[in-house]
Amino acid sequence: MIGNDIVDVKTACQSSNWHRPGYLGKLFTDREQALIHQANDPEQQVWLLWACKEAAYKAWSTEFHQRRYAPRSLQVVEWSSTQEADHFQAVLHTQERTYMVKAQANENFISSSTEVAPIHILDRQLLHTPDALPKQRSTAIRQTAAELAARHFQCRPDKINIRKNELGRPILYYLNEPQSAFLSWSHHGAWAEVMLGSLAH
Amino acid sequence: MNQAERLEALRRIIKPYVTDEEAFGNLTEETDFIKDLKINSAHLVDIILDVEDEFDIEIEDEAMEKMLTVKAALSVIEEKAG
Repeated sequence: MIGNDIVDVKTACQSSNWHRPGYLGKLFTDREQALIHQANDPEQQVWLLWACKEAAYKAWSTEFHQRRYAPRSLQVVEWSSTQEADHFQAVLHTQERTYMVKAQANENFISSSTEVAPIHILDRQLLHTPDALPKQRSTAIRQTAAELAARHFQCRPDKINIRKNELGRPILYYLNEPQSAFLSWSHHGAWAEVMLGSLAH
Repeated sequence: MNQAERLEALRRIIKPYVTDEEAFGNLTEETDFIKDLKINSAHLVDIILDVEDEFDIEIEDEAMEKMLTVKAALSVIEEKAG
């Protein structure tokens, strides 16, 4: 299982009002809200925590085959900066599993990812499509996902099929057979990121 | 408020957050906020806060976690607002 998320900083700033009364309380635990209020850049902290929850949620949803809108049930219990500037690590608890989520932030986007052993993220591709229409962006993402998978299976991208399951998670088929390789992607505003995970060789 | 009026109020609330206008035009009770309307998951909380304000109800975590479809949202509203 893998999961990832991306937040376009400009889009988030324009389209989400996290100052709205009740907003933080619906999404974040008391501990997470404390992290936000203590942060040098509270707005960035909001989206960092959100991206970590989303990445863990995608891995959780894929593994446990469920959907729910329960952001507070994915709890950030540890938060740390790494030695690399603007890189962070979070430990998230759900009832079923603990997730280690890595995140990075820059002035343009916030990106997060998690992998559940024995699956590792082997490849990833960032996309910047500021002028694309939603359909074009979706095509570009699927094409990128097929290219990552083709590289992994050392085949042509047209041998790869990607279908969404009933949970909305992308499932990878190679020569029409489902694979023990996983795709995860996310897009927001002008940014998208696609990841491929599999057993490490 | 009857079911049709609740659906109409919900449509008004959802509209600003929808990114797939075509799916919004074909909205039914089965419509999924994220899969069909492509509403960003960080905006689902805005819809929930708007629903709380509009119907003067409080939606706690257990009710919120089901609110992924129009049908589920209407059932939460009906249960809480009566």
